[in-house]
Amino acid sequence: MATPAPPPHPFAPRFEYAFTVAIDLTPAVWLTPSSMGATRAAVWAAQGTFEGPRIRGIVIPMSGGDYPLVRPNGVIDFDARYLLQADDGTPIYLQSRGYRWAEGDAMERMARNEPLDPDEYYMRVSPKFDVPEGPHDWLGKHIFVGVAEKVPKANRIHYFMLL
Amino acid sequence: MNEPQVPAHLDYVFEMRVDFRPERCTVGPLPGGGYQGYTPCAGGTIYGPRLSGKVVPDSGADYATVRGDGTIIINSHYMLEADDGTKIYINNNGYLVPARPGEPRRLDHDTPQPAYFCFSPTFVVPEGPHDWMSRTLIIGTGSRRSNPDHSIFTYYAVRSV
Repeated sequence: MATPAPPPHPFAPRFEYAFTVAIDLTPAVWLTPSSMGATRAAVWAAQGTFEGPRIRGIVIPMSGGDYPLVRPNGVIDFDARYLLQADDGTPIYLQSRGYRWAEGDAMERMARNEPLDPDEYYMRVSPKFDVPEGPHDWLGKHIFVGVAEKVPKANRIHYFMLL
Repeated sequence: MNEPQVPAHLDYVFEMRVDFRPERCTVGPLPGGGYQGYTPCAGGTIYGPRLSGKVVPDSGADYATVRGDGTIIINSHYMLEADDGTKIYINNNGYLVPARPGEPRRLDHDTPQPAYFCFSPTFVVPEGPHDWMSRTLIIGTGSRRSNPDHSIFTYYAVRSV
């Protein structure tokens, strides 16, 4: 991808690190071909934790998962929904979409649950949160970007808040 | 700013100007609180290093939800047309948080700006030269403008490394 220098812009985006979510995933169920003309997969969030400067807690076990479409060209179009619980007890609904793809054989090695370097694939997501009013309501009024690491049978996603 | 720990590097990809029709309205209050917004699009232009073209005139609207806390959930649907004729559907999702009364407001081209106005759009694109838009995470920032009523959306691709 060409990388022209961003022009000086009075509203140039800035990010603040929010938190990292680490999730263990169940084995996938595959629907193929789905009525969307692609392969639908389903994996569940078996368990997990999240932690950052302003918030920490757990992924509520089996509260949801990811139901991505796998396009015929190999691009995975994520559709994840599950619940977090902050350590003050607040439940938080997370819905996330984004993409994962790779060049060459990296996609097949990933499908075989082999470890890959993060620069061998593109895996970026954008979550939105449904959260009660209170100390965590900043989650419900900012755009977030997740930089994701695919580790075998798990995900580690580093979330940054667009200021 | 904590620049050193930000791996989500960005590439500026394009800007989109959307002109709005005067038939803007809000409907409500709704049973769950809040309001339904409607802002039809008159048309617009797209320019930048990765995409140029236009917003197809009268091709859609923003159907925002105004939440009980005043946050506006932007949900715009338009058709775009690239200079090579490719039609692209955009669903521009984001948040507009109005400035609180008395809060100092940034001015952009003499128009007071909301406290927050950012986006995470999705695109439906045919296979071909523009299909990077449907496998690359794109985020945007917005600027409100008046006289005439329009907004400028500046979009950035989240790079892989």
